[in-house]
Amino acid sequence: MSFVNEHHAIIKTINFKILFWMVSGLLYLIVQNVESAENSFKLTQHNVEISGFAFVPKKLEVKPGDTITWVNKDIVPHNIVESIDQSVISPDLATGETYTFVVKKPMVYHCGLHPSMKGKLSLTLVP
Amino acid sequence: MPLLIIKPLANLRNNLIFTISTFALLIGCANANEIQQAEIITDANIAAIVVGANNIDISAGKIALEHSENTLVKNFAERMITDHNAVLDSAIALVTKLGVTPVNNSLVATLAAQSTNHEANLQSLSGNAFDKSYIGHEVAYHQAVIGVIENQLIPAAQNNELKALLVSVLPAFRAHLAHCQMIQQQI
Repeated sequence: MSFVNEHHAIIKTINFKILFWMVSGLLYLIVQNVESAENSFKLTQHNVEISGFAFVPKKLEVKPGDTITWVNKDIVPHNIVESIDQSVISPDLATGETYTFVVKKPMVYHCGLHPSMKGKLSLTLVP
Repeated sequence: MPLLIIKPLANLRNNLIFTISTFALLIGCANANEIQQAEIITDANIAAIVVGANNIDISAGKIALEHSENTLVKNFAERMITDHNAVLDSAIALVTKLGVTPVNNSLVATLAAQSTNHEANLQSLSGNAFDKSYIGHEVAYHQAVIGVIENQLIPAAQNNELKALLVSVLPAFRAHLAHCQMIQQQI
């Protein structure tokens, strides 16, 4: 009889250890996923320099809600115009001026004053 | 019916004027290039060429603002006045800092003479003929000036800051060239 009780006690201990490790593992996985999801949705501030009559970088991968700040480092004014519907995004930016914009959708843009200057915002796929 | 005949003839005349004036500009610049190759280009000459080249385009832009009725052309002319004034200010600030006094040479004289002829021609035109002549000349002029800066002025510049200024203005001239070529397709 004592052998049986002892056997049950051993099994209980093993089960408890297995359960403990399973719960710990599960909690670890949950925390990791939450952190990963938080990072995926974390909004980013991007800077685009306007210099040498070009947008630098010319192409950016962004998420909806990210912000873009253009800074004009040229000696002449530039502005930002959406290329598909021609909507004006920024006013004319003099040397040293900046303009910040919240991204809602992918966008191809150009300088309305110098149409050969082009830029592109592509949306990153969020997991 | 006579209008149908007159319009193509007028277009032909305008195209001929544009072609001849563009050809003359390019030949003129080619001759200027040949002359320049025999001359030593000093930093003082470069200063004079930069100032002269910008002033010529500002002056043509002012005529276009007065004469053109085309929004694309007027916007472009306004851009030329603003941008070339900014380049001019930057160039004058640099040569003043460097203590360089601009000295004219044969290229400056050639550019000035061509500009006088071109402006006289512009003053005699109106409507689409004016727009075609102004924009056509802007295309040829920017192509020629880019060539002169790249092939003659940058290699000749002795002062590093002056050389850097010349390098930094090239993207502006290239953007202007692309802009007027776009307009040329639409007028």
